[in-house]
Amino acid sequence: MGLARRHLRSVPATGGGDADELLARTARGDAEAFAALYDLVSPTVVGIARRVVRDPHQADEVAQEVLLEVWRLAPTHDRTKGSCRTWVATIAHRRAVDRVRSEQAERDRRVRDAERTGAPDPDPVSTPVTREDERQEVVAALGQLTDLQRQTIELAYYGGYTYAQVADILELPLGTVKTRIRDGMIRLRDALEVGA
Amino acid sequence: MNDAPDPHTLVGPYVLDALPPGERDLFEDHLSRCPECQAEAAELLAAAAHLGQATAVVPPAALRAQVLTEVARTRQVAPGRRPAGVDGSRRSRPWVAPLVAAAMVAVLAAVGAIALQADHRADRAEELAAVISAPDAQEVEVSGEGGTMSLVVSPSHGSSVVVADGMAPPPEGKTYALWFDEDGVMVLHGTFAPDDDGSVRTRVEGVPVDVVGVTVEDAGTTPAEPNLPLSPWASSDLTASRCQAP
Repeated sequence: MGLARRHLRSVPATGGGDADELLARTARGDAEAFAALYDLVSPTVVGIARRVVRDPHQADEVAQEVLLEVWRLAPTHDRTKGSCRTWVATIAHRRAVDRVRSEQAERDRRVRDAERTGAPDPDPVSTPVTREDERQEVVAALGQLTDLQRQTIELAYYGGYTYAQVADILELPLGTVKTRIRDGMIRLRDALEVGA
Repeated sequence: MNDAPDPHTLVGPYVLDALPPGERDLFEDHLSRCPECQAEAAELLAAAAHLGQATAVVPPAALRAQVLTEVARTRQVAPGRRPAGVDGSRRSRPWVAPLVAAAMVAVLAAVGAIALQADHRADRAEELAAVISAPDAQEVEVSGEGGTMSLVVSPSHGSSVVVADGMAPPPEGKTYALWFDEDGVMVLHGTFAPDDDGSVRTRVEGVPVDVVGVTVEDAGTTPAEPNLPLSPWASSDLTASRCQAP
């Protein structure tokens, strides 16, 4: 815990006000603001990449690309459409998923391993920095879903599977998976009380 | 007639990046025109971001310097542009949208049981997974009075998977047969029957480019033409050029 604790100080609450402000300054070409933004969002970017991509080396490559994209695309970010933290997490997840799906061999391996890898196991080589209350909040919110809602969402988000793959793994009709994911996400939104 | 899948239901998989590229494009097209979905997607993306934040870890020490060095020599995109790559990461697969949008209708006349081809179970599961998880795989719903099933179609694999649940068994001594219209001629692409739970997961060679039909045929035979009547069949507006394998 020692290492994690040391880093906890540098990880602020998820309020995100600071991140939004730093992103606005980054959008105007302020590299110093970007460096501060890096400190706020890089733990999430690396965390998502490692969870989805799994191979730490490849995951860190993805994380680097994502963080560079945040700099490059900052001027295009539309504040009215979502917070900085949501925007960054969205880019990170999409990039991680693109990486996972880009290699046929990798995909085949994952489909074979599907049953074993559904649950989001903690990554042994990474030190978590998420604040415990924040992590608990997500765990509690996931706990409010039905088993099927939770499984489909975890496989899709943490596993990086398409909903068709999720349907295949769980042996459910595609339509069922689509609606379970949507219903589950709506419930998760309500449990987490998140706005856009 | 046009029973295209309701795009609103794709919002869940969309916010989790769980749509294959073709359907992602289709949904983003829809999103640009549907304020209701925009609002829902924004909220659900925020919820999804919380799933991501719960994974946060200490970044590798070297990453910061690498990123900041790259940043120092990387130009930012001009405001107002929405570059391809992120946010909209669009990959062009022009044939996909019409394929997904088109509804194919067939009658699932219900009747008796027949065996699937005696595939090796494990091989079969792997083949199914390969088709279903192909990057170009698309789901096409096939519905009629007998119920709804779907075909997951992968042009790159040159095959399709019949997917159905809760399907009534065919009558004794009969089997279901799947037909694709090829240049105006109905061609048999395989036979299938639900298992004891009414579920069907059967791979067939070929991808449909036009009408798809399901008939009930004598088990153990290879019919040359469909056992009519099949009506009401509805033809989709697919054309061969739109749906050819890349």
